[in-house]
Amino acid sequence: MHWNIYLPIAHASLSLPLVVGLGLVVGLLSGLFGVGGGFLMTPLLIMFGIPPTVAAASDSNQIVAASASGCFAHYRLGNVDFKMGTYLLIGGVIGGTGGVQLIKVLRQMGNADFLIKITYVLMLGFVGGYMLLESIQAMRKKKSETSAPPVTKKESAYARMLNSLPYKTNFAKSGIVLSPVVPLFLGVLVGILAAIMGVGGGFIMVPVMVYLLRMPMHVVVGTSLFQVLFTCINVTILQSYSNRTVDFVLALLLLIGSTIGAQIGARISAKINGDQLKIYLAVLVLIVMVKMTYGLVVPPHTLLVLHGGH
Amino acid sequence: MNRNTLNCILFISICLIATAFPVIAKPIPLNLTISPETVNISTFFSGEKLTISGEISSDDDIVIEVSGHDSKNEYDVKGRRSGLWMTTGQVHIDQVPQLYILLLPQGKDWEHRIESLGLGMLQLKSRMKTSRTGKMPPDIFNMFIDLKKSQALYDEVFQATTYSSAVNGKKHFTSVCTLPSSIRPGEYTIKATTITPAGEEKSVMADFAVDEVGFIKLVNDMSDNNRILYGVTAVVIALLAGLIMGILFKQSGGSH
Repeated sequence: MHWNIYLPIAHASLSLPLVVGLGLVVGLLSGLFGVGGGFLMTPLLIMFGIPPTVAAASDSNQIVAASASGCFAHYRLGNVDFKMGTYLLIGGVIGGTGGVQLIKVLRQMGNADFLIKITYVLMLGFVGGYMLLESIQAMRKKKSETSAPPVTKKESAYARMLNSLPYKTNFAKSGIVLSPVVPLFLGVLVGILAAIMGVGGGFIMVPVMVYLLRMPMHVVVGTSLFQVLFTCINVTILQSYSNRTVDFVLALLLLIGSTIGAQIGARISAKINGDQLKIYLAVLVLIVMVKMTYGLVVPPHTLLVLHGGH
Repeated sequence: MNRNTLNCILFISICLIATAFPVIAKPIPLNLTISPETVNISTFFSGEKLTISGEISSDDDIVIEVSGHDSKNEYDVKGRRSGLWMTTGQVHIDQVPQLYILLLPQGKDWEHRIESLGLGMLQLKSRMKTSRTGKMPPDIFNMFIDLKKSQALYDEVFQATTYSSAVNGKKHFTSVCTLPSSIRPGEYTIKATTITPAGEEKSVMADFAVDEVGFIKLVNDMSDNNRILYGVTAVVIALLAGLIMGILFKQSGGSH
């Protein structure tokens, strides 16, 4: 008995255990860190012969299942701030739409890819590095029982600015009182960046929630998954309609693995200390950054690649 | 020897010459047998072996080309900008077949002969049309061929055709072509060229079809004809799968 299955839209045959296994790994990351996992899944699928456009679109479909599974698990654990998630989502949709227009202008200028990749590497490096250092420092301080929180002048100015904004509302689940203008504005910003970089935005959204919205790490993961879920529903329907690139069979196989992985990830996440979780995420972000830098510096084995994808 | 005996010998001689003559002078009409005649793409399709067989004169050789319709290809071209590798333009490659597999017989120095016979990858180069945005790499043809070879859509297979022992001036040939799983549905052409020791060529063509069947056809038809329904169905199934898995996990282990 052979274990290959034919993918009708990708027009390729892949090993069944391989596809399910890929889904499992990516689902685990999704449940653990609240990221969609497109950064990992799409290049892997391309590596196994799936056309880039189909890989990206089918991955979005798969993320719907993984994030629904992860979001549900986090909801049961009381880790989803729906109010905050909705504001971020509205901002993300507005920003994403604007970002798509911006990328068109950048492409016409001819330097879009250069700008995208450099922005991506710099942002991942900055976010990953900052997160890693900050989390290590926080863990060390806890160990030495120094309870004073690290408050810098810059953070105080930021806090003052937040306090001066109107229409404050209570985000009970996150335990913060904040003007909805802040998550809306940050949602727009992340939406623009996500559209420019061609990724779901979980990687940017999670640090934004942790450092700029000051949400607790466990609520951040659940809320991020809530936002990723709706973003990917939108992308799946749009890709099916406009480009016919969603391979339902591929997505179905991936989601078998990813939904299980997301559940396991959510459970592990609940057992890990917030700072530890940040360190793991920071390491993951830095690995992706190193991989992208490697791809930019080392000559590719072929200068010709199928058009499309991230 | 009387007259009747002489007539009898003459008649038998004429009959013998008449029966022997076609074998010596008339070429064997080439009939190709293709198996299977239709390649079905079903749920567990992972490529297919296509067998082409027939009979040729014992002194001849046969070369078989399996090809698809011409396709349009759009690629991103990577280049170095400010010391970093990234997409620097697009190239369109047209008038090249979506599939090209050359099946060569056993024996002889076919690697060098195919060029003089106008077969193989190089003959595709003369047909290929390219257009671009950005800078065109100088060896675009080789890059294209390498890419297609890596997808198993282009190939030159040596010793793919085997011959039986010659009987009555004829020999049986069998060629085996491995069709990749990435083959697209549609009509494909087999061109079989016999080559005499004097270098004379004669070709015959035959077609075979690649069709989607069952669940694969159903999914493709739906994604083509009911795009919104297809997208919404994909989302609903993904949501249900996610939620069902969540419920199953809740029942099996509960929260912490």
